[in-house]
Amino acid sequence: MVWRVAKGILITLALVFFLLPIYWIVATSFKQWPDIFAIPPKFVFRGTLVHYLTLFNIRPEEAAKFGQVGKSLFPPRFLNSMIIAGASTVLSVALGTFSAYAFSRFRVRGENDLLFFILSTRMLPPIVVGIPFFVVYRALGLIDTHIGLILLYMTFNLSFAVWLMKGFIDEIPREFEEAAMVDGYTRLEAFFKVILPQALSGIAATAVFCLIAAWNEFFFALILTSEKARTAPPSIAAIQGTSGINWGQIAAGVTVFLLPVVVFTFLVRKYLARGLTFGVIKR
Amino acid sequence: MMERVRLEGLSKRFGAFEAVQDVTLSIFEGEFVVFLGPSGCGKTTTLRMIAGLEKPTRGDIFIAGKRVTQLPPARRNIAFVFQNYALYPHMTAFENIAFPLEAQGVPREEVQRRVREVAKILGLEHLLALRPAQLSSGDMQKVALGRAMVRRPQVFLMDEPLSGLDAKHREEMRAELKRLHIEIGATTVYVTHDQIEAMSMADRIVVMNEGKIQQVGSPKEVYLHPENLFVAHFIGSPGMNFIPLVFLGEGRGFRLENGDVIRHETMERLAVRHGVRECILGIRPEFLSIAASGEIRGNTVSIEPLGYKNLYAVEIAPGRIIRVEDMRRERFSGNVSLAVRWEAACLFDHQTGQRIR
Repeated sequence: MVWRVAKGILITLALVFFLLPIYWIVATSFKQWPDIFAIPPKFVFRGTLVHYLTLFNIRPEEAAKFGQVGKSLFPPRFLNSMIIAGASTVLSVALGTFSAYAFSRFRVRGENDLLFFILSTRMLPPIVVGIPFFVVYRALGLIDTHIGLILLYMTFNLSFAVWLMKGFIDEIPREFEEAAMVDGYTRLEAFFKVILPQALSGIAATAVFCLIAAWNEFFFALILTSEKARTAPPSIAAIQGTSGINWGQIAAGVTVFLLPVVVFTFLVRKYLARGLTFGVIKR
Repeated sequence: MMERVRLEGLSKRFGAFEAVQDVTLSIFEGEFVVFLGPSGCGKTTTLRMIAGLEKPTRGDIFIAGKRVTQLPPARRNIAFVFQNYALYPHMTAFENIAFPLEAQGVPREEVQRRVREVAKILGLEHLLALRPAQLSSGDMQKVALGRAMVRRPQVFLMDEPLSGLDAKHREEMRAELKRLHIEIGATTVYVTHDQIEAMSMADRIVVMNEGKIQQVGSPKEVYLHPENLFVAHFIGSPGMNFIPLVFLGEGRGFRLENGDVIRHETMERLAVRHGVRECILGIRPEFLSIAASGEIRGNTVSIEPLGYKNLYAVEIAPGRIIRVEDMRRERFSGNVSLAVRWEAACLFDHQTGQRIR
C-alpha cells in the first residue's frame, strides 16, 4: 500500500518534470501578450490564436503589433524541415537496414572492425567537425541546399541505424529467408517478402530515433544553411521583432514543430510494441 | 529404380573444421533415407548442401540427373522442413502453404485448390485462417509439411522436424509422416539424431560420424550387421556390448580378459583369414542370455526390470560391464554364466574398428 502510494507520487513527479516545459510552451503560444510575462504565471487566461495566425501569415497585419517586419518565414522553413528530416530518415533507415542485413547474414571480412568503425563516427561531438564540413560543403556548393543537409543527417544517423537494425535482424531466425529461398524466391525477394515484415518494429523504432535526431538538429542547420534550405529550429530561435524576442510566436512555432514527431510516433506505436513475432519460432 | 539424388565426393569445410568429408551416396525415387548420427556429425550440413543453403567445398550434387551444385535453392525444386518450422509469422496458415506456389506464378484458383487439397491430407482445413502464433506446435509442423508438399518437389528434405514436439506428438507425427510418405511416395531425406525415428521410418539409414558416412543400410542391416564399432555402439539402446578378445590361433580359440578361453569355429576362421590378433566381439544384449553353462562367466552388478524382460549389468572382468537382456521372469544374481547366440555376434578388428566378415 505504502509502496503503491510512493510509486504514484514518483510517477506524478516524473510526469510533472517532463511535461511541465511542454505545457509551458503550449500555454504560452495561446496567451495574450501581457499574460506571457505575468508574475506569478497565469494558469487561467483568455486564449488567443494571434501567434499562430501571424506565424502562418494568415493575419499579417497583427504581426506589426509585435514589431515584426515583413512576412513570417516559418511556413517555408517548416516545409524544409519536413523534406530534410523525412528524406534523411528514409535514406538512413533504408541503407541501415540493408547494411545490417548484410552484417547479420553474410560472413563479412573484418566484420567487428567495420562495425566499430561505423559506430566510431558517433564518438566525436558534431561541433568538432562543424568547420571542416563548412569548408567542404562550400567547396562542393552544398551550402544552403536541401541535399546537403539530407546527406549530412543521413551520415550521422546511419551508424545508429546500422547498429540498431543489426540487433533487430539478428533476432529474426535465418530459417525464414532460407525457407523462402527454398520455396522458390531469390534472396532479395525473400528479404522483402519475409524479413522486412518481421523487421517492421525495428524499422519503426529506428525511424523514430532518426527522425527525432534530424528534426531537432540545430547546429549544422545554423551554419550550413541561410535561406533556401534553412530548417525550422534555427528559424524559430531567430523570431524577433523590433521590440525584442517575440515569445508568443516562438511558442506557437515550437508547438507546431512538436506535432509531426508526436504524430509519427503515434502512428508507428503499433510496431514499436514488439510481439508480432513472439512465440512463432521454437528455440 | 531411378536415381533421384546423387552426392559425389561431397565435402564441406568451415575454417579448419571438416564438417563433411567425401560423402558419396545415391538416393532413389520414392525412398525414405534417414541421416543418423550424433550432433556435429555433418548430417545437417549435408542436408543443407543438398538444399543449396550451404555451398560444398568440394564435390557435386545431382537432383533428377541434373547437376545442381551451383544452383540457388530456388532452382533445385526441393522442399525443406526446418527444425523450428520457420513458418512466416505475418502470414496465415493458408498463405504459408500457398507461398511456394506464388513464387511459381500458379493461377489463383489452382493455388486455392492445391492448398485445400494438401490441407485435407494433413487435416488442417479448419486452421487455414489462423496465424502460426495461434497454432499448437504439432499443427505448426503440419503447416510446414503442407508448405513442403504443396509444390510437389523432387525431394523432401527434413531437418529434425519432430524434435520440437513432445513425446506423444512426436510419436503421432512419426506415424503421420510414414503414412504421408506411403501415400504420396515422395523421395525424402530426413535428418535426425533419434535412432527410434530412424529405425521406424527409414528405408535406408545413413549413419554418419565426424563428417563421414559410417554405414548405409536398411534399419535391420545397420542394427544386425554394423560395419564398425561406431555404428554398433550408436545404434540400439543400450548399444552393442564389446568384449575384447585375443586370438590364440586356429584350433586354440580366443582368450577373454579374465583368462578364460572361448572356442568358435566360424569366428576363428574369420580371425585367421584376416590375420588379426586382438579383436572385439560385438554382441547385442538380447543375443546374450543367462545359462547354466554359457561361454562367458560374470557377476551381476544390477538388474533393471522392464516388465516383459530384465536388463542385467554383468561384470565379466574388472571394470568390464556388459548388458544382458533376459526374457525370463526369474531374476538371477551373483555369479552367472552367459550364453552367446553366435549367429548374431560380430567380430571387429581392434586396430581399425572395422567389422571382420
